[in-house]
Amino acid sequence: MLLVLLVLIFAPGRLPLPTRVSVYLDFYGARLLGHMPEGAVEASARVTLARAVYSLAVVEAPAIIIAVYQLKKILENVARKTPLVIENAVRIRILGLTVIGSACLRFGRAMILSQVVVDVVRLKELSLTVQPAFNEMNTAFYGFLILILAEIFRYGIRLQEEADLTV
Amino acid sequence: MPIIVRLNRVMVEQKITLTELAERVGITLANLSILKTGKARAVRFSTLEAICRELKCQPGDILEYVPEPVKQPRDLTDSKDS
Repeated sequence: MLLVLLVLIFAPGRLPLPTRVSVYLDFYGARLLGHMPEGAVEASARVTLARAVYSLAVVEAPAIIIAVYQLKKILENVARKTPLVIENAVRIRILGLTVIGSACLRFGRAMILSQVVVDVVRLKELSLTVQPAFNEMNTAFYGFLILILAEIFRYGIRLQEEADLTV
Repeated sequence: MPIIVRLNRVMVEQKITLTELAERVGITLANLSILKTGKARAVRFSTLEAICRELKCQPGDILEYVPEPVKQPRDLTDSKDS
């Protein structure tokens, strides 16, 4: 929370402000990229936009750090030739939960940023509306798949233990 | 586990070492050690047959069933009174 606050206070002054706003136009699956003219976003509105972008990036960063850390630990176990350990099953489960959490965060980020863009962009004859970013549901679905794989992995470890302790 | 492995007792009676038995039975010393210390979850019939053949004994001489004591449910009324 403190980190987000610090970013909100200092980031727009320290980090580059967005000079141009690009928008993706979704047309029945086809994604078109459009660039807003510089006059569309006022100078004061750029700070608001930068605050939103940087603070949301800070909120999302821990999910990526957790995921990379879990992957690193799993790969360490694989390198040690001890992949079938319960620790790895727990780490895969954490990875799955992180992916689901990350998808929720990205959904939230998309919604918030869309609303900010709608508020700051001023163009004649242009009307912008916010629609839910349901494409993040795909990411959440992959997270659920990882959770299922974690349970299968746990079952495999149990079978391996049985085999190891059968003489 | 209520199954107790009495392999040590039979080995002492037969005056045979763990290494020698492992060689004669044809399993690794580590696996025989798992069996002897009671850490094994299962024993193959082929392993049991080989051990009985080498030690000239019956499976009942090696394995023993000792029932675990049944846990009595706590009497909550007593604990409340005291």
